[in-house]
This record gives sequence, C-alpha cells and structure tokens, in this order.
Amino acid sequence: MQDENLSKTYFQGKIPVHALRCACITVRKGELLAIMGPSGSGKSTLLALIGSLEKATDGKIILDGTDITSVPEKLLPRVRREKIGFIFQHYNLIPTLSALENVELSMRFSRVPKKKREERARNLLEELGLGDRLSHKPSELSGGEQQRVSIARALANKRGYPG
Amino acid sequence: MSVTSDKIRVFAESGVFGGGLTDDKVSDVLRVAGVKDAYGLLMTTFDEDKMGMTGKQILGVPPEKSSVALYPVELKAGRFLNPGDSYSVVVGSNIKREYKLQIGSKFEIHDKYFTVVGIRDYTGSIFDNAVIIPLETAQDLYDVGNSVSYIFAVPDERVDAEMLSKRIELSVKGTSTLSPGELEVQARQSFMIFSVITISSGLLAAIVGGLCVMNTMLMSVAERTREFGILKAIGAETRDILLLTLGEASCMGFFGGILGILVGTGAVYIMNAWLANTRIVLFLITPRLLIIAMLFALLIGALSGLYPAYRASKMSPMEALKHA
Repeated sequence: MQDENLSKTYFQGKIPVHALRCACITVRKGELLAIMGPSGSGKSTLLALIGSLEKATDGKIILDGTDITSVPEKLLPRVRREKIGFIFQHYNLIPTLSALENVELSMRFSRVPKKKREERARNLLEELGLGDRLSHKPSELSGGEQQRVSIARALANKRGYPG
Repeated sequence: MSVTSDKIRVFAESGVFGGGLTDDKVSDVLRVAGVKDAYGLLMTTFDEDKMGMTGKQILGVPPEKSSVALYPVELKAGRFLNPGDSYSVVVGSNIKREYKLQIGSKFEIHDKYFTVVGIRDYTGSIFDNAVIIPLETAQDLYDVGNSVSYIFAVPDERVDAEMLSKRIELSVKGTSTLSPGELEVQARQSFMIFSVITISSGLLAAIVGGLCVMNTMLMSVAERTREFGILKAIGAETRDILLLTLGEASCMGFFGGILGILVGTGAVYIMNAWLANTRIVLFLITPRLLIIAMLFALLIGALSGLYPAYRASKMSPMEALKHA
C-alpha cells in the first residue's frame, strides 16, 4: 500500500479540525506495520481512511495497485470485501449470529455459494482452534475466542490467503 | 331481498305510522288496471324488553292470503292460516327457535294466547322474526278499526311493476308506493353506506398498522446502528442492507396479516352468531378476501419498511461504528 499526501479535515460546525495532514506511508506485501502515537494524533483517522470507511479530504491511497481514493462510492463495498479486513478493538461480532455465520458474512455479500463458504469458514475456525465452538454465539465465547473469530472473519473473503 | 320482492307496497302518503289506509283503499287499488290482487296488512312490532328496530314483527294478514304474502317462503311444518282462524299464528324460524315452539304450542301476543299452526322456513331476512296472524284479529287486538299499515299490490303477469306502481300512486288518492325496483335501490344505498363505513375502518386500521411497523423498524434500526456499521465495514452493499431491512418489515407484515386474519375470522364468526337473532346482515369470508388481506398486509409492511431501510443504508460506517 502506498499513501501520498493523505489529509483529512473534519468540520465542527464551521471550525476545521485537521485530523491528518499530508501523511505518506509505504507498506510492502508481507510487511507488518504498527502505528503508534499519543492520543489524538490521528491513528484512528488514518486507519479509517485506509480501510475506506472515511473519505480523504486530500491525497491518494493506492492499495494493491488500485487507487481507492478515486473509486466511486458504489464500488467501495467490494474493495472492502476483497482487499480489506477489519479486526476491531471490541471485536464487533454480530451478536445474533453464531461464530460460523459471523465468519461467513463477507462471503455471503460476495455471493459465494453456501457450501463453499461454509467449508472455508469452518476450515479457518478450526485452524484457529475453534472447531468445537462453531455454533456458539458471541455471548457464549470468551474474549480470546471472540478475537479469534474476528480474525477468521477478516481473512475469510480474501483471495491469496490459503485455506 | 327476494322475499316479497314481487309485490308493490302501497303506503299512506304520510307513511306507515301516520295511519290513513283502510280496507276500502284496498278495493280502490284493486280497481287500478294491471293489479291482479291487492290486500292490506297490519304491521306492528313486538318487543318485550328491547327497544327499537331489532324487535320482532306482528303481521296481520288476510288468512286466505297468508300463504302468498311472504312468497316464496315455504312452510317447515304445519299450515298457513285458514279462513275462520282467529287466534292462530304462523311463526318465523327465529321466533320458533327463541321461544322453543312447536305446532300446537301457545304463544302470547298482546295479552292473548295464540296457537301455533305453522312454522316457516329459514330465510335469512327479518321475516324470520315475524309472526303472521289473521288481519281481523290483529285489527281487534290493537283496536284500530279497519286500518291497515300498507297494501300489497300484485301486478298482472305481463305488467311492468314500476309503471304500475306509479299508476297506483296517481289513481288512488293519498297513497305513495314502493315498487320492487325502488326497494332494491334503497337496499343498495344502505349497503353502500355500510360498505363505505367498513372500508374506511379497514383503511384506518391499515394506516395505523403501517405506522406501527415503520415506528418499530425505525427503532430497531436505531438500536442496531453499530451492527449496520459493522456490516458495511465487512463489505455489505447498500442493496444488501436495504433488502435486509425491507425483509424484516415484510415479515412483520406477514405475521401481522396472519394474526389479523385469525382475529378477523373469529370476530366475524361471533358477529354472525349474534346477528343471526336480529338483522339480515351477514358477513362473509371468501378465499379472495383472505388473499387480498394477506397481500395488503405484506404491502403495508414492506412500504412502511422503506424509510427505515433507507435510513439504515445511508449510514456512514465510521459514524455507525462509533455509536453505542
């Protein structure tokens, strides 16, 4: 991924809040990058922009060769499904769905056939040691287990990940 | 409606309760060209405790006409009145049922005891609540001399009833008539009023129902703001979220429809049972009605879900995720 001159400005009424100013980042395939900084330095904003959950005020984000800042809003969900995976601080699993169903979710939106997505979800969860927790709801899982489901969900629909 | 629909009713100009029609008017009517037969009837109500129009009727009829007055009603048992009968009565099916009468039972009218000589078949009209006694007896009982409430005029075979009706009005002084055609128009009008009332109620219920669904859905969507944010972050298309919400609203419509049909059918059943004792009006449930009701419920549910669905799909994922 490559970011150039990435900026984000929020408006509180008429007062501009410059959350991010001209950020430039390059991440190569296979690299692991940790973003650290004091509270209010723009970490969440940066992640939101990269994850396409927010629109940048200025600058470019090139992900896997695609400039997602110029992708029309309509096509963003597809980008999110196939190129971006989120693992939230508070897991954010759908409480009414089982672990298996949670992992299947993004594949459902990609219209992957039922058998295939069930199989893939099951494989991922088993690899993460949750083979006997497939039908449990988030409220029936421990914090660590919920996190693993979250990881499985983030990886489920991504091409290139074996499984 | 088919009972007595072949006859023309002749009233005094001032209406049934104004009096003024007597036996000699009957001969006047008979003289009008085209009138095959005419006879007078005395009609009063017989209400023991209830007041108003849901009561029972006493019809004083000339005995020799008692078999044709309420034509085409057949007898279930016994006979019609015979000339020379004085305290005999032919009862309608409701009266028989309510007072548990048989041939030979005694039936009290206006402090006098009558013997039941005939029981009429069920017609589903108000005549089921009527009893027929000899005209002269009735006139004596209510001390009205030789007055009658109205006169039945039977048209000749090929005579147009509407025209004859007008002719009687013009020929016989002090009368107004109600032809079969006019009777039908009246009935149709009151039916229309009834329809308007029921349709408006139905419409009102539909609107209220729709608003309820919309409100519930809006609240449901608001409570799950975060969830919608998650779905969007995972990559749900706007369309997916719209369909999801619409689907929920339609489900509500569906189950509401089923519940409504069950309750409605139960209510109709109860009302028909209660009304069987009084008026003619019956409520009918047809398959077509059920299908329309179900579709309508689904439609209302879906339409009401449109706005909440729109709200849900337009949320910004970031905002939604920050939500509670």
